[in-house]
Amino acid sequence: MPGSLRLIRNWDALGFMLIVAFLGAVAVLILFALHLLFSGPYNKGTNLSSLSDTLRDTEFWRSVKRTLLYSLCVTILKVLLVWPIAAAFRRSRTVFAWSLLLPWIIPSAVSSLAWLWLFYDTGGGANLLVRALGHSEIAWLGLPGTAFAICMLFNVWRELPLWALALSPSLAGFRGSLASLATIDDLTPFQRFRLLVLPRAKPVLTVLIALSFIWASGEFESIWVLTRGGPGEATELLTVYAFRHSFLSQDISRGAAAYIVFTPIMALLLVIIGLYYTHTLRRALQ
Amino acid sequence: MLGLLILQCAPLFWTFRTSFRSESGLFIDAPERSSSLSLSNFIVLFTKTDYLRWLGNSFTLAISSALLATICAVLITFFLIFSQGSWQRLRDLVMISYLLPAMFVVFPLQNLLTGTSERIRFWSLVLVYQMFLLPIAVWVTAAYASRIPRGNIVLAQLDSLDSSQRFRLVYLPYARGGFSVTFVISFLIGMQEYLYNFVLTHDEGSKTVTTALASLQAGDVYKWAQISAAGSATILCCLLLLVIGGRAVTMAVLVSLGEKEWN
Repeated sequence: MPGSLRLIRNWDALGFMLIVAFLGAVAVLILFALHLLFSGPYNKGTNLSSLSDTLRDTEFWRSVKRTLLYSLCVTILKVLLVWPIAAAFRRSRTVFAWSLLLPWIIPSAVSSLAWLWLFYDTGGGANLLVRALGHSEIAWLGLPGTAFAICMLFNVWRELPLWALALSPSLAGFRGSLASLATIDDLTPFQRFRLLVLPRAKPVLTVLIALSFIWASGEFESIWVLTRGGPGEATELLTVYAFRHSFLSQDISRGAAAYIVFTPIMALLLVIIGLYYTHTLRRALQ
Repeated sequence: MLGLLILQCAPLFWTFRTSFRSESGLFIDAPERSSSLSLSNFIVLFTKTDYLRWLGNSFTLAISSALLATICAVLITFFLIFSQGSWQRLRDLVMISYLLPAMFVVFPLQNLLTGTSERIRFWSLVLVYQMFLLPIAVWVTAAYASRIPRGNIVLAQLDSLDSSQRFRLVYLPYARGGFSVTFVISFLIGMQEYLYNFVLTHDEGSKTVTTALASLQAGDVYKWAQISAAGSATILCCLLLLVIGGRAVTMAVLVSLGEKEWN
């Protein structure tokens, strides 16, 4: 059999080659990004000035702090608010329930525009409501505090359905001894949640928390559409900082440097979450 | 349930309502009543803008990249199921690559594609999208493939079945339920992609819906009625996709997290 036909018929080899090709492409991109970093500002010379400039840039550290705060807040909000929607998924398994997934299915850029219009200064729905209540219009996206809050709320609104779907099996009814115990012991709903639901939900919840951190720290399109990182730099997360330096200021090495510095911070957070996940699984198995 | 749905859909409803109003009617103190609803924004959207082309671009990229991701994920998972020991680490490496920030990857990609034609840039997105689609596709197909009883795998190796026989007799019966699920979830995620298209394509004709909607603004002025019409049309498309693919999304999320199939 000719060599090429033998290769095609050997699907194991194809699978292996695809993995190697994919990981090879990723490695090349990482190395190229590092090359861009070390080629210095505006691709002139070979030095570490972009890295040192980034480390000395207070604006960079403010964007890191903002990114971590944003990731933490949206994750906490999701953990607190997910349960009613998860219960709704559990109760109803119809197209109607799947409609709750709509915010997640719609492209983020499209729904960001919807939110931008909702909170627009003049003519936006939020200010029409505010005026109907007898107050003057609010520059929702023009004030640092409200702009940051709206960006966070958007993230929560968008990803909550996915969380609810993933956690809905944890709310399944308990049968047998657990159900009897809950009734005999006269547990309050909160106690049932804490003692029965939460332990069951912990493994999935930990994965969702890790994903929330990853996705939130990489959030770009909603921030760019809603505020462009403003007002001032109130909503400038690391992604917007990197984008602004790389593509608007044409200093790609600064953008790469920002991520070189931020990646270990993120990796440390994920390691902590991963260790907690392993610990949770071990306890669940015992 | 209804209350939750209203709360979740309120921002979208505001866009939908605006899409039937005239541009001038949006900013007067007394909003026009529903009797002045019109379809003019949609007519302008479909006849005077490239919306249908942008939507076509979104679908083309999403379908192509989802197909490629699904085929690659099936072959990768097939290899991993029948390999032993340290080869399994390769799956972990594929999954870890998902953690690579998109903004970090887009810098070298933009450099690599500098000087190439718009057509090449557009079609290269099918490969670029694999950066985030392939790890997800592998995760979902692996979750389905993990249901193959270990005994079947061992027997297949003892019986010295060749790779096509193993695929057909051992892998396919358990894993094929995941093929359509993987395709649908990859397609939906591909439809949502923004950053790579935003940075790597320049021509209006190459834009997808996600990146092109912003071009409906004129300078600092947003044409909200028209943008809302485009947004509403996209939302309706997504609603249709949800009706068709909602079950697949549910399966992908639950099965890949280790839950039993939701029936």
